[in-house]
Amino acid sequence: MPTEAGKKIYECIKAVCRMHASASKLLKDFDKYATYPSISVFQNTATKDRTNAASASYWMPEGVFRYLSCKDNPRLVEAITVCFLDNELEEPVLLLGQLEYTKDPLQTRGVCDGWDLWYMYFPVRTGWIHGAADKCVVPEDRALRIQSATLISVPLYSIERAEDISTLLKKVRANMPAVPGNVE
Amino acid sequence: MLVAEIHGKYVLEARTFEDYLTSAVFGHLRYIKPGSFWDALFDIAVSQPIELTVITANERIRKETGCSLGSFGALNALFWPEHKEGIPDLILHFYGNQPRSVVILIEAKLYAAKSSTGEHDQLAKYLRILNSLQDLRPPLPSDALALAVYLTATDSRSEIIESLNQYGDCDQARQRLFHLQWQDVIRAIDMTMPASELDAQILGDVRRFLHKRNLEYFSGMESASAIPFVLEIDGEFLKDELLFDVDSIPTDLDIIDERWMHAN
Repeated sequence: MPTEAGKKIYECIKAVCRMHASASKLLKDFDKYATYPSISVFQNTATKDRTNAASASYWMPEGVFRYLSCKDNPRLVEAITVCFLDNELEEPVLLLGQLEYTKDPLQTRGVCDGWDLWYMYFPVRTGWIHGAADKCVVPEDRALRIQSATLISVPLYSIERAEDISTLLKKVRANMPAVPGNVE
Repeated sequence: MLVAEIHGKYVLEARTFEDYLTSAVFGHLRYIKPGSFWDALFDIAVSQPIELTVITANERIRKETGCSLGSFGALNALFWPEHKEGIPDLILHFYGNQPRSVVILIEAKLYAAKSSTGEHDQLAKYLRILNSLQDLRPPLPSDALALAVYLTATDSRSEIIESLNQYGDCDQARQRLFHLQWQDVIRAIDMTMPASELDAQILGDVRRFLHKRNLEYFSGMESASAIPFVLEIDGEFLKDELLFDVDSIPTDLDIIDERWMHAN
């Protein structure tokens, strides 16, 4: 016997799956607009820290990411992060950023963390505006690894086409200090 | 395999296996005769910049043979043909109706990078296969126009540049090596007017399969009208079913201050 509650929640779960499918396409298309030539820091891995334990509040990833290290200057990384779930969010948010690490993340394990962009954004700074690129205050616990970072945020559902990534990245690059490999 | 997956029946491990993907997609596409689909697909395959401009595989074919892929009489697909330089995933041989045939070598990847780099660079080796088609098993005409396509799920320009450098970067090499994404197969299908009902069925199946695999380009988020509208009050359903019989709960309990939850 179907229940109204079950049907409602099932429609929601399916909508979340469709959101994941769209976010996956965005991550793949990101390579086309990011710094070139580049190498994916985490290869095909897009999330982590999700529990597989039976005892859990939920199993859904809180976000997904992709980091591309510039071949001409491997310390320069362009990254995309989609934030699905956080107490501070009103809706899913897309983050695009450029980070300059102190070491080459492809050579030294642990230099780049998939959540770096996430922790540049959260906790959301007072007065932060979507659509405007700004330099980040690197949290103390990441400052040994990250020299500087710039990011831009937009509501995920405001992205209409993959080319929007290019527009947003241009704003980010324009805000980043002149570093070798920065294409702007 | 392809039809099973369209209907949601698949082996999870096989979904990341690129040979399975190549076989499922091109095992069906090989029955599409030379025509608008192949023209559309290789109109999307682009080279690395040659004097600041890129060319498509089809432009190169038209320039060298004076005709498009659609004008050839037949297509033969050779899966995993052997050569002393290695075993590429697929070779498409377009022949008939024209004096010179066209050979398109395809190396397909899903999420992995090239299997070898440096002096043994996989794509550089496959570029060398193009120079000795007669050494393939089965052999192909040595006078055919031979091109290579690197088919991937994400942008592969960096890998291609690396391979060109290993091969000896020159305009001639850049005019032979093209990149294409799995997502472009759906684009080509969408641009194609099928020549027959059978073609329509094959292309439709391949399209559905790639859609199931999410091998499509991003085309916007879902519109608000397609997302179920759930109000916060809808969460009340969680309270619909009483876990306890209210009458059985004692009424003489003290009200406890909930601040204990936040105490250190």
